[in-house]
Amino acid sequence: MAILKLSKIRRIYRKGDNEVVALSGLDLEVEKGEFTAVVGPSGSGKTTLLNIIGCLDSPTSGEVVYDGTPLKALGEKALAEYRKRHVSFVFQSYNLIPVLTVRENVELPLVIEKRLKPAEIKARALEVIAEVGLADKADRFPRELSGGQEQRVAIARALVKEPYVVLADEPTANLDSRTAEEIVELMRKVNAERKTTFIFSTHDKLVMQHARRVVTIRDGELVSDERR
Amino acid sequence: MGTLWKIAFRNVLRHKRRTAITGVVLMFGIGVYIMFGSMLAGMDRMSIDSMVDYSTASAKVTSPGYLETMSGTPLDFGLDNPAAIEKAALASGASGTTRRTAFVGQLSNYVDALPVMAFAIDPATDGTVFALERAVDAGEWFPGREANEIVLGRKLAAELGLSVGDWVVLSGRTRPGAENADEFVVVATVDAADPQVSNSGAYVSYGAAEGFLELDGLVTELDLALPRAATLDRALDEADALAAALRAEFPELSTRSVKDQAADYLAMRNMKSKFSYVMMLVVLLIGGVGIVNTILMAVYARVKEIGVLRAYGMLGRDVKSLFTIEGVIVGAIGSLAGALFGLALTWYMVEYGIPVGVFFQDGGLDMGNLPLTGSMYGEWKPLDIVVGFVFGVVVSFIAARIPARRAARLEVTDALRFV
Repeated sequence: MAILKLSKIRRIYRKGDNEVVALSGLDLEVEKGEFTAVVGPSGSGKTTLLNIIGCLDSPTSGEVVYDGTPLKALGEKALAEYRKRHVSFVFQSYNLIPVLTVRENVELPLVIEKRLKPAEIKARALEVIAEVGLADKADRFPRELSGGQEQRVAIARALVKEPYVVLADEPTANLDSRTAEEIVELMRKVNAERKTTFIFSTHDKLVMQHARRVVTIRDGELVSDERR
Repeated sequence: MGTLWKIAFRNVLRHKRRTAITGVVLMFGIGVYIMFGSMLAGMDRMSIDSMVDYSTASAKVTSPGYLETMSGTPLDFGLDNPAAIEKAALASGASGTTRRTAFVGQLSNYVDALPVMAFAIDPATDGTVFALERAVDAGEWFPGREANEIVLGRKLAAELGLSVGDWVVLSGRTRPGAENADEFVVVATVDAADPQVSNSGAYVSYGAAEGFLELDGLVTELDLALPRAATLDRALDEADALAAALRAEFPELSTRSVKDQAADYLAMRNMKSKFSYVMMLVVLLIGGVGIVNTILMAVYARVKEIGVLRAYGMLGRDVKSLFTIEGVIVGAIGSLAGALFGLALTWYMVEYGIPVGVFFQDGGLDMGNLPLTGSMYGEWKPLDIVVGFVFGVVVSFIAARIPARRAARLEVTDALRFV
């Protein structure tokens, strides 16, 4: 069953008198537990697609349905609530909060969500930190970590609230190839063990090799959809 | 909310230099405001003390008729039973009482003459209320008590070229209304803080005035002293209470506290305090601009961080709270430092004061009742310290809301794209 269904998604940005078409009538379905790479040249619309899937941006036209719920039907508040509960993000430049420790960074989505008690939040965060192999770094600050370790923390932060889908925008772009491979392997492992759906954009051929599905877009259109 | 405070507090500590610069601006502003308040209060205290010490006393009892025509210092309205008033005053907490009769006279050194503000006084009790005896800078305070002796203000004596031991002629209108004159020997000069005393004061004993003015026991005013109060406000209130007690006991008389007598000056004092609020507003405006700038810098430095927080579902109002808290923390640090700085400056002003004689001795500057000699001391104004701190924090809160609102309005996608 498709956890995510995008139909005829168009996204047009206006810059002064000009219109920039980022996505033009894109259709896409994603099954639960898929490990999908979105590839394409710069400016092809990858980030826009991820932002729309992540409810950070709204399509100019078209429909996004999450787990049977059309997002259009949700109000702004409900949409933010939906994002808070079911979607997580991993960013290219990690974007950890520098003044919070590893544990506090990982706890953040749950603190924002306000669903669990502090003790439960802490236990859950430590569990996920251990899962990404950083149990001994829980009390360190981001500045004390390597790039690869920071991205592991970002992945732990994304996983801690057990979302439907983790969206990763070029998660390995700032890492050397060996570390990049480690990060993708980690994502793959979590995907296999937790059945968490991953959708990530990348330019990296090595990373693409790990994907079970590769969606290629160009000029805002889906040009190929390869399942392995 | 705990996490917001944690992030805000750690960010403030992380950017120590930025925090310090804004904090120092607030510290100086609030510190100077507090010191200025203390100095104004000190000036008021000195001015009122000077009035109490040389003219108004803590309270003054006269007949209503005398009060109405007081500027002419008439010898027509006396107090019938001053001893009874004195007894009642002492029972109501007065620490001293003395009798005075004011009259306008003409003082001559046999060549030139000047108008003087003259008083018949009781040399034995005058010092329990007024500071004249303590202000003697040459000669001796009425050594003969009842003889034809006169004490003059220092500048008045200098103007007429008089020294201790010189003879003068004092003329004035007697109680029945005739002009009279008599010779007096200058026994002392007084260097009083009150310029009116120094410039035109002339004092003779009741013993000498009795014959000269034909007073026939007339006492036009009874002056009352109170023990020195810790603060000006308390001194004024205690004087009011004493006057009220006597008014209740002697409703037929006019009893006026120093607060009543110095009403004009005290009205000016209120204006001065308004001015000090204006000064604080200017200072806090500068501090507020500093806070806006600091938080704006914090917002721009952390646009991506805002994007991440919003992406994970943090509401705009929480982002606004985060940066508001940062501003308030910076403001509270600066305000606390300002309160402590103000406390230190006030302590110095209270303990050591600043010398005013150096500035005004010969400057010809009209300082009203403000003493022209010695040091000017500050007064403790605990409320100013609290007000300075609270205003600092409140202004920081308001100032921080401006950039915080901007942070809350950032589009998530724009924030995440921000380089």
